[in-house]
Amino acid sequence: MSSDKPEREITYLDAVREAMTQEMRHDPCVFLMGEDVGVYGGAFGASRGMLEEFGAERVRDTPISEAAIAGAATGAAIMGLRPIFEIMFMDFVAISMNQLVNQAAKMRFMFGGKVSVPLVMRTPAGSGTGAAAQHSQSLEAWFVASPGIKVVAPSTPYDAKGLLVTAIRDNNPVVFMEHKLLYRTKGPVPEELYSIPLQKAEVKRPGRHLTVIAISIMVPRALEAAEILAKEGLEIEVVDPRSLKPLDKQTITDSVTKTGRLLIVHEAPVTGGFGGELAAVVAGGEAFDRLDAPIRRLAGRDIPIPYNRGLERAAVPQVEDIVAVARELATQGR
Amino acid sequence: MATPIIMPKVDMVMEKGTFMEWLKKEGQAVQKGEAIYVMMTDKASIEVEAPASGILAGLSARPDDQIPVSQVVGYILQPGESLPEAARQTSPAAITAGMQANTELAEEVKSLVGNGDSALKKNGDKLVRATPLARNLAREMKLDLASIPGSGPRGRVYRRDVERYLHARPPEQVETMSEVQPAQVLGFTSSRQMPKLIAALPVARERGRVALKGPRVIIAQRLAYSVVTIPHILFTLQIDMTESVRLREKVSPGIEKRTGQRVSFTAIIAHSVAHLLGQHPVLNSSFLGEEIVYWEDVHLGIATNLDEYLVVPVIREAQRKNLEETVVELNRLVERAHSKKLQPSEMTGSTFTISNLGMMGIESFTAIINPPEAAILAVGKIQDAAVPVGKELAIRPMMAVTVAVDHRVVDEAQAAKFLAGLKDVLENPYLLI
Amino acid sequence: MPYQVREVLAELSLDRSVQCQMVADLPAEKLVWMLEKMLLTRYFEENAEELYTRGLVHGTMHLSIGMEASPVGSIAAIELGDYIIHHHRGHGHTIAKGADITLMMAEFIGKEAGYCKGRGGSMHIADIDGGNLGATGIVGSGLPTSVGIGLALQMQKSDRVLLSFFGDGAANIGEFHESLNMASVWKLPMVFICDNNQYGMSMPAEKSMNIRHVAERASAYGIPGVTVDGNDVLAVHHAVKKAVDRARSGEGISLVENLTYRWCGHSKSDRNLYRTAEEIKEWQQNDPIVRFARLLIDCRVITQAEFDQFDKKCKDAITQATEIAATFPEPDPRNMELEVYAP
Repeated sequence: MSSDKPEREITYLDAVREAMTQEMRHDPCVFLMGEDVGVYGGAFGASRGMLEEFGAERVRDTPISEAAIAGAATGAAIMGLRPIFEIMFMDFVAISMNQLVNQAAKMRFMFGGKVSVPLVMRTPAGSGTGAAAQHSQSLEAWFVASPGIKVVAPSTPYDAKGLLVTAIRDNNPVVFMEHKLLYRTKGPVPEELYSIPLQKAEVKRPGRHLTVIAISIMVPRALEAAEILAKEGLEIEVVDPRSLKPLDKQTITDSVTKTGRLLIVHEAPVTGGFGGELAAVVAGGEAFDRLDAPIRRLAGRDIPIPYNRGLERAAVPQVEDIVAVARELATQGR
Repeated sequence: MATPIIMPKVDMVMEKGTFMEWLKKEGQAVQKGEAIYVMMTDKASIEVEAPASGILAGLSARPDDQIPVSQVVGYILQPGESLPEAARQTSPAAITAGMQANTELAEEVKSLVGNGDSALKKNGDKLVRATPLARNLAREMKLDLASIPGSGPRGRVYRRDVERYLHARPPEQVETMSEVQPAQVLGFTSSRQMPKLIAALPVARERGRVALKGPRVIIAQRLAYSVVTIPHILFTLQIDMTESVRLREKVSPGIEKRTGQRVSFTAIIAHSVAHLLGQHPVLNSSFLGEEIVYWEDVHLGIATNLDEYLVVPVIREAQRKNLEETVVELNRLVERAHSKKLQPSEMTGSTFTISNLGMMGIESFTAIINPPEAAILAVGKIQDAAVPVGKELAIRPMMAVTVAVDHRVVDEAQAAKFLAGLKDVLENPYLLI
Repeated sequence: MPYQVREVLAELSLDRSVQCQMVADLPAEKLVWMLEKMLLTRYFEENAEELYTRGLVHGTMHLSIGMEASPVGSIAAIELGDYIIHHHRGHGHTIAKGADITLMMAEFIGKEAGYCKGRGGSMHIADIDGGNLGATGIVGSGLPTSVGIGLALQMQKSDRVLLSFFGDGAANIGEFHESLNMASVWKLPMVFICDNNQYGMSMPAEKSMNIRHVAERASAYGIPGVTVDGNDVLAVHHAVKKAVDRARSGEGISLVENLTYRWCGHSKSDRNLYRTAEEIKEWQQNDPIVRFARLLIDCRVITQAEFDQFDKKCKDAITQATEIAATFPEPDPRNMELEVYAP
């Protein structure tokens, strides 16, 4: 992003489509399959127009068969193709788990390094659209806990395009998590093809008083909270890991070493969530001696996502929650 | 009659739809059944068809609008028809944002904020709760953690509590770094013994007598000790301050605006030295007889002249501070020095000292190392001088610096490299960014 | 109670004349190849059992003694460049697909020199370069993956085919339906082959499904399905060859069910409480190797003496492979994390 001309702004959804389209134009092994990705253009519109450009072989509609879709991607990948498959709502990935976790994740290791499985699973996740308990989950922790699978959760259109390109080019199974509420957010995105490396976190906003590590939809909410708290003289540093596995531990450690205080925010339920992993990484690392307050997690409540709008909102952290907890953590003992 | 175009209900639980985009424009003719706009429900996006043939008009919905089911978003007119009154108004777009403060939510926030475990450490029989940072600081300052009152929940000790404790301690309790009485080194049994044995007093009328007391005693002892026990060697360099002058001009307005503090050359030099010492750890060390301790932190002593005597307030962890933070801290300490508010803890524990007599007009001088440090930097005034630049003479603001080092710890090459590094950084200040 | 041998033979066995015709239609080398592969499998399995009783094998094993005709007959119907994917009872499949016995044995006992460098073991043996795309230990898990392999073959416009093996137990798992449905819709170049040994661990097939033959399910997908006498290697070969030709011509998938029987328990901890000794003995009289050898001798393709020679040769090969494999080094446990991801 070094050019001086003003970047055009496109939506996160457009950025995802652009990554797939541009990569498919230049690598004939890449193809997309999933439910309603072809004629319909994707349930959320991610592949709108792609069937017309690439044809039905490479933009492939499938029956409703999440296990077979994931398995087909696995089998095609070991034969040298580079499939992208879309699971319409992350909640449905439960049906694909056997193929993803017991086959795709393990085949390279089980077969002594003789195969690789270069697939990407793209999936809309998260709550806030009133879709209720079975269409609203963020299940990144399941895949972080499965050796052999990489996990990416971009929060901006720029990150989405660059990281999807990298995921497609990676020779391993990658879970690419797209939060539904981020689809319509806009941001500057270069027109040309570019890639962002995995295991590289980004400090989205620098600050001295508190580190907030935020995942996916919580990044814009944390930034909003930081803006509010800046008026009170509190400088909140917001770190976006972007790739959850492999994780950029160095950037996170450096940030907490600098501020001495850490708040982790994610939408998935707090118990067993990725925040526990982050907290342990920090507490067990070099930043420990610089901690001047306990590490805190602010995450989803341990409940299924409810339908009612107010209940749904109350189930996961909102901007005002982040403000309250961040303010307390940044000022305690100061 | 104009045919209204509404937001349709497309599934059982839908109450609102998100308007995505118009597929046709205001004034365009459409056929019944043709797709005219795209909406999105929580599950999928849907194309809405025209309910009649005619001309599109009064299109009020905008992308991202949340529209309740059955609300009108536009009209289809037959030739000759006009829009109803209601359509002339702007369509309501925003959802009612924000919810009432949810008591359950408040509870959750409170629960996150209230309790907390902190590291427990056994200290004799007493368990002490303290943050890792507080613990480290206490250890560094050789304090008993158990005697420090903590302000956190269940008596947790924060860094701030340790610092407060340090500031509040009466001066007598401050440890001196050296137990050995300097006078003893010189063979005197009492520090107050004047050197009558070495030289006779002149025969002259006395103007007055003042007993040595307070800081003067310590200064006298320290200086004598230092000169006698530490082999000093001295190195001088002239530094072209053109770029540093420029830097100061550039950053001063911003820093003054933000902090209300003026940027002094002492601050710039202090900041440069603090960041440079990381590459020259030998000059940031202490000789302990059997070993040399290299310090991780740079606690910079800044020699400050008051009317009666010299004090050396300390900028702690100077290597972690950026220029702005150094300016703020330096000015704060100097102000406290002048108003006699400096606490003992603010005057001890330095690992390197800078003395700047430029404002007194001194061109160059040598300073005495402040034990147990291994070096001291003496800075002279910045004055214009004619210096060769290439094959020509130019007028440049030049500054002389002299570093004195403990030759038991620092050898010539190391001192020379440090000075060369300092010259480099002050002549090219952007190297530090 | 599973099918009694005489029931199966009555329903499925081929006429003598048909069998002799099949023998005549195939070159002698092929027939001998089939015999040898079956013998190698039998001795590999018996040897594995012996190693286990001597305490030399970590974990368990799933032996296919008595079932040799199904993999051998099926794989005899494909070419060297074609592919297979199979399951936990897959030693016969691996041998028939041309694996080096020594390397296979090395993997079986967990040595670094094994096909999977000791990381996979008995249940996950794969000879990728030889077109053997691996065994899966989760019942039915190979099926969706096999759809992907077939898809790749189709998209790459290859003229290769895939044989996807699964058992009677897997015929009831959800992924079976998803896989056959998708593969039938896309007309992938593959054949689904059911090694029906009539038991899913302790569960007899007739108690776990409401139909008599797994092949009946083919009609649900609009594809041809056939049940054959799985202990008649030529019958198996004939049926699979037809399906392979169909797949290679682009007409789509088929379902071939090879009805057979396993002599040993499901795994080493199986005490055979769910079937009787008489039943096992009855099926041991229906030994596929004995039947085929007798047929070849009767049709004068080989003599008894020649058979004894092959028999000895195979037995010795296994013994030798075991001895060599035992000398291979153990794998190094450090740095295993580096093997999880491809660079």
